[in-house]
Amino acid sequence: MHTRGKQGRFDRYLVTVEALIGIGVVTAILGSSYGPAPTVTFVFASVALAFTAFVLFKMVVSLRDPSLDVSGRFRDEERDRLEEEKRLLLQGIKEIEADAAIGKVDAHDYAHLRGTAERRALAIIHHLRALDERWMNEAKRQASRVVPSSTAAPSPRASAGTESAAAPSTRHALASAPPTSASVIEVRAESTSSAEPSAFASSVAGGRAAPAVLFDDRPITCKINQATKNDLICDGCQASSPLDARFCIGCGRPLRSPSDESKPDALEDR
Amino acid sequence: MASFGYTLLLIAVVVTAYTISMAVVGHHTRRPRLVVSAEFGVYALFGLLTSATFVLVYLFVTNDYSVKYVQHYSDRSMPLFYKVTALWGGQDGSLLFWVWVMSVWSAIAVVQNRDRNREIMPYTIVAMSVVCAYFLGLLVFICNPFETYLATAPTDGRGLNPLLQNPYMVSHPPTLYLGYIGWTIPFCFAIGALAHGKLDYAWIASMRRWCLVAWVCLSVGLALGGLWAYEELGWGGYWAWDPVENAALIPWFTGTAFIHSIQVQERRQMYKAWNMVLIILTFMLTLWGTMMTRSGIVQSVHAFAQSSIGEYFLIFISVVFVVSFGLLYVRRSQLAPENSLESVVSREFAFLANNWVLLAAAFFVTFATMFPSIFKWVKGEQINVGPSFFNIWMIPIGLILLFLTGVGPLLSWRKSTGATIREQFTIPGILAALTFGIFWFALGIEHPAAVITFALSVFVTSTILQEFYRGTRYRMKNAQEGPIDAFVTLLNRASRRYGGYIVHFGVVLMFVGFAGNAFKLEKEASVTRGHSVSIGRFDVRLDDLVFEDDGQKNMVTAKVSVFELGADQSKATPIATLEPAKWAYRKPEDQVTTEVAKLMSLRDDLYLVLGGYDAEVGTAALQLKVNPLVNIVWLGCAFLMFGLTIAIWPARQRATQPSPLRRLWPSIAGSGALLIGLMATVLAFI
Repeated sequence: MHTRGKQGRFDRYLVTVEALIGIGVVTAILGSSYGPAPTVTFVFASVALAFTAFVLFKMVVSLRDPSLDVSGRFRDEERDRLEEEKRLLLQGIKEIEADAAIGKVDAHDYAHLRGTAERRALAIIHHLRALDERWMNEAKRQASRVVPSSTAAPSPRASAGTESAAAPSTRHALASAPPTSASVIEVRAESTSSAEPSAFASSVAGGRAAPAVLFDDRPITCKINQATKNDLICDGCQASSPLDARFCIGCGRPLRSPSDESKPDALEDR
Repeated sequence: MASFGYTLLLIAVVVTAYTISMAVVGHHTRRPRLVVSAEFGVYALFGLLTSATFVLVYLFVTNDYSVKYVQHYSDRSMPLFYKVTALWGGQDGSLLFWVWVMSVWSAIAVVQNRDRNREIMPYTIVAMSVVCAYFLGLLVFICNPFETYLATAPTDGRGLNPLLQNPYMVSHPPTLYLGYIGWTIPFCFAIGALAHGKLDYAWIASMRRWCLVAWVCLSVGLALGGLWAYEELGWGGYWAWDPVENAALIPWFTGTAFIHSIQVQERRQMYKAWNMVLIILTFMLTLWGTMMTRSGIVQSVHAFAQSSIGEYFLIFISVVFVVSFGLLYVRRSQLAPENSLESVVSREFAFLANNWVLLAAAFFVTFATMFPSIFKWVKGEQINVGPSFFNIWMIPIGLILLFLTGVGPLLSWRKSTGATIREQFTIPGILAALTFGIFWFALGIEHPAAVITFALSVFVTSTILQEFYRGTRYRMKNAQEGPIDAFVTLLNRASRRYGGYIVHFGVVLMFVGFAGNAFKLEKEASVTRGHSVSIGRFDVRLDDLVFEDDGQKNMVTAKVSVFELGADQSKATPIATLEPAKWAYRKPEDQVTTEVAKLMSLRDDLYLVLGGYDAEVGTAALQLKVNPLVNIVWLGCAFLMFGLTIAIWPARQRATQPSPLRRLWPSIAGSGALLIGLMATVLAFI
């Protein structure tokens, strides 16, 4: 697949180069008769017309392409909006930190502004997490539809005799999954035989040995999720703060170790 | 070929109508393939208009005088260079150029958003296509650049206005158009968001960089226009408050207000409706400016001839007004602020004050520009509003803006306390007071506006340096970096903020250059061959008068030697030879232009104009001017470009470039922009 992609790209480059050589030859022939300026203008106009014809063709063809209706649904606009707002809020927090560090904001205002932004950012992170779960459930539902019908009717031998053998392997698959396994789509065989994952995987992977994990497309919020599970505890007031916090939410003391402080990005604005 | 060009325009009209309908139907019936088809319609429009533009250029370079537009704006003796630029030399061609640039911007906007903002894009595409459709309608039905002579075609053209036969003709109109039309894209995103009701961060994120690009293009376009006027018109200045200049300046004011105000929405979720108002106003003012320039409503040295398109512009502006503000009214509940203004000593209020001042400037300039037309309409008498009237009001407005440029960045969000104000303002305040004292009392300079400008310039510069110093010190302390590393990282990591400060410094330099006008020297003298006249520190001697003809024009050139006078005004050192001239073009008939000669330096310009001559006696009437600090204005523009380059550098590249060399890219690109600006300044010197 990868090789074919490379080959396709090479073919496109080849066609482009050939087209450019062709245009150059035509330009040279016309230029010798009509002069350079009219010829160059004429060639540019012709290239623009060729582009127009191609685009008009695509414009009409796209009307009859139902796959475009489907692909459009996979984009989660709500998620984009929240990610953008979160980005701006985190950027704002960094700016407030920088302003506080250079004495532009007093302590009270700093706490207020930072607290407000953090609360909002946390709310957004929670919302994003909920969206992720919803997306995952939908993806699982879609994946389960793809499972061949043969898996829905397991062989009597498998259902009768290998259930006890299947259970350990399933447990093993689940135990070896990363901690944020909510984001990982797995072939779960809790109520079916051990043969089912293989059958499903075979149908997907073309008969090769089936991995327990189909794909691991972990959303970014899982990292945040993981981070927020491991809060930092303030030495001063014992309050719990997120892992990426620099100052304690409770008393404002610095939380980071010197090694972490070697990579500050508080003044980053994007 | 002309009929082929016109056919392309007709197809473009059909494609635009198709694009609008597909975007609307696709969105309402929830069929993305129709929206995708509409997007291809936008690309097709770009292709069609590119082809049509090249067809018109082809007609120019092949001297096809059967086409009226080509015959009106070119002739056989014109160099190829000016034949190509004659594309935007007249009304019809410049409208084609306008809609072509619009199609380019639209195609880029659609490509950028092909995978995001899918909800607002259909309406954004509709808004962009409606704007294109309006201009295409003008081209097809009223100002057809491909119109041909019905009877026998002339054998030669009338020629381009000699004032337009200048190298700046290549850079000034396109840059200005890019800026002018660039504001259309943020407006279309705003309309898309209003129409869909998705008024969150998506549309702001989509148009943030567009605004900065439009702003810098408009700023550079204005500066190039000033430079062109300074070189070509021969009156010794770069800004005369001419209606056509004002037409580009007015949306610049509201656009500047918008790019400041939008930051408050990003940080504090305030001014949401206000930002909508500003972007709608900016777009409407670009249309208004275009109408003023092209309808013959106002008199100007470089307005297009009177035509009937003013009425159509008025109708379109009215439609835009009703639709935009109607949508704004419908969505007003969704645009409620999430925070309130807590103190007048806050950055939010500083931005609001900046907005008020900029809007006041926009409305004053609009009113003053239109005043002669209004007066003529009411009283039936023709009056002129000269630069002195504009300066009376615009100098204080400019000084307030300069003051706010320094104050805004030092205030904190929400509110600033007495302690923080003291800490931030003590050093800049003292330096500004010292500067005022030195200029006013010690040097005895009695130009209040100039002295206040210098003091405020020092104030703003010191606030900027203070910000850089404190930011660098903060990084040095926290990241254990050396000063250079800390400074570079600061620029890379907070490029928008610190790029903005560099832009502010460019503005300061421009104000210093404006203040130099207060010390301008002027003199007119009739000088005989071998005799001299002195002005300021210069002594100018007329060596010879030379008469030449290059086939296109008659040229009279005064050969002049310039000497610098010593401190006692006696000892003169030769420093340059200048050649002010007068050119009389054959086409258009008896059109005479003044070719200015300049001796340029950062301190001042010696500006020489050959006003007249007596060939028999060997006498030249010279107009001499010394313009102090004028070149600092152009240097300020270079800093403006440098700062903007840093500010708009794409974030993704910076985030994924680990190597130290690559981290420097924004600075390198910015330095490149500065270098180009400086080279342009040096070229202007030559």
